[in-house]
Amino acid sequence: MWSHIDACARAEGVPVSVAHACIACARSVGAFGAGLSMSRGDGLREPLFTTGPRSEEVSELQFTIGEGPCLDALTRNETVMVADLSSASSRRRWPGFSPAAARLGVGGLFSIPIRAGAARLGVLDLYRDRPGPLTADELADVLAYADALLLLTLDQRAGISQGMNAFLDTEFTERRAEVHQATGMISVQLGVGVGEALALLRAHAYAHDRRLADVSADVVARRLWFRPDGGARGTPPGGEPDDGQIPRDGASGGPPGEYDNEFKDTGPLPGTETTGEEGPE
Amino acid sequence: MTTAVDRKVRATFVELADTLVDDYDIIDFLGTLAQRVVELLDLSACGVLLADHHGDLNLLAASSEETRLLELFQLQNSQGPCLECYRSGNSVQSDDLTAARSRWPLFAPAAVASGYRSVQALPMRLRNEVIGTMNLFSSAPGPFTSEKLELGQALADTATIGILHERTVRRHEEVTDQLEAALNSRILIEQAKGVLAQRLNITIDQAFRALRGHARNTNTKITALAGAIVEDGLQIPGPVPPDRRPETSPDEV
Repeated sequence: MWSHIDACARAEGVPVSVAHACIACARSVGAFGAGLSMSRGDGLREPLFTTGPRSEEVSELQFTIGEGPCLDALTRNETVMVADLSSASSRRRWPGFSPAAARLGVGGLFSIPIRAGAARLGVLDLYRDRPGPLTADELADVLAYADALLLLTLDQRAGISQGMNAFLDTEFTERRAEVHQATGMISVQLGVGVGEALALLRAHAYAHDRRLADVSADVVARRLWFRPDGGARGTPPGGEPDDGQIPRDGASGGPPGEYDNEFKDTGPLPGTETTGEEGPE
Repeated sequence: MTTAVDRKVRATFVELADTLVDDYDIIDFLGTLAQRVVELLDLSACGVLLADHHGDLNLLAASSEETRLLELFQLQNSQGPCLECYRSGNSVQSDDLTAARSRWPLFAPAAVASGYRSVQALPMRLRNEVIGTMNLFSSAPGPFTSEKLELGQALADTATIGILHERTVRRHEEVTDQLEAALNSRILIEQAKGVLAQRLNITIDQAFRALRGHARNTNTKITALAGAIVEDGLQIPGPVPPDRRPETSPDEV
């Protein structure tokens, strides 16, 4: 999958982005196009990217009429798979959108949430000319692309552009329990949503050239602290005052083991070494 | 003795069937099921693992959420009975984990260090496909009796039904979709653990106890509660007993 995304980016001679994942995903399932809509913290939903004018038209249609599979997927946080938009059930569900989309020649439409737990970033829409359900293999592919889009979206928000190797590593560690536990902890440490917390966790791992799983383990074991951004706001436990800027671009990340102002290596803390968090030796 | 066990088995299936006809939470359901498996089969631990669309095994629920145990489940993405079971579709066991080091160089010593001596992985099947495994641990060496295995397999099948129950599953794509939804619920639980651990200055293990305890006390579904904690900032009390929390307060509060 990553090689397909990479190939799309190379063809354009630009760094890999969500656009390439959308294009590669649409190709992999024989869709004529794809659309990516993002939900933002303030509840605002907006179409972010479409693969072409026809996809854009379908995407806009949903937001103009105010109904459709994508909006349902965003609202209910669930996959919405419409094998045939001209079916009676589809027209009952979206009386305005279904006939209009069918007139644009959309046969099947599949809306897949881009999410990790409570981090709900958006929805990927896939548009197919012909009606018919996704096969099992196609859906598995689509879900893998949705994972890729999650990572790319998070990194794009954090302002980092990773090489493919970094993704090959994260693809298999993203589901580790500790990553999500650390995400929850960081969201409280910084007072941000879990989506942003996960983005910052990934950005930190990237900037310090460390594995996501290792950084997560440090956070869970309370060896590593994320501090509210915006500079000096009190001192970390046993720590020094802040004195720098948050590395938003991540390109100039410091060497491993050296933490930026928002993250403090607090060292082993009293009272935490006996909790058994470190797991089997 | 047998009668008492039979009674317990009956009671368990009645309880699980009761849950299944209601509107239920998948993580709650499987957590209860894992606990009953431990009680009925006289085991030390039980976990329900589900394969995702990458073919990785992910824990959905366990009889205990102790970190060390969770790591044993996680480890099995690279080696161990669950991986073998998932790949072959057959149940996999080891009667003596102390002698299984060459078979599973990472998993076997870790399991022994956690106090387990024998292990069993049972396939969770849907028609011809294995969707996950049920992992059983015992602190005693020796094989699981065929009676135990039969009952364990029936309970593993019940877990499958529970996971795919929410609506009638006719097409494979719906199965994949539901498995993904179940795995996403699990991620939410982990995030809630982290939020609580940080907010209440407790360990991840204590955070889960607080989460589950509050869900039970308030008769709330655990996934819904986790969502309210992570997304809406819902505050819940810490776990009991409070004197087991770390004494120092390293957090900036």
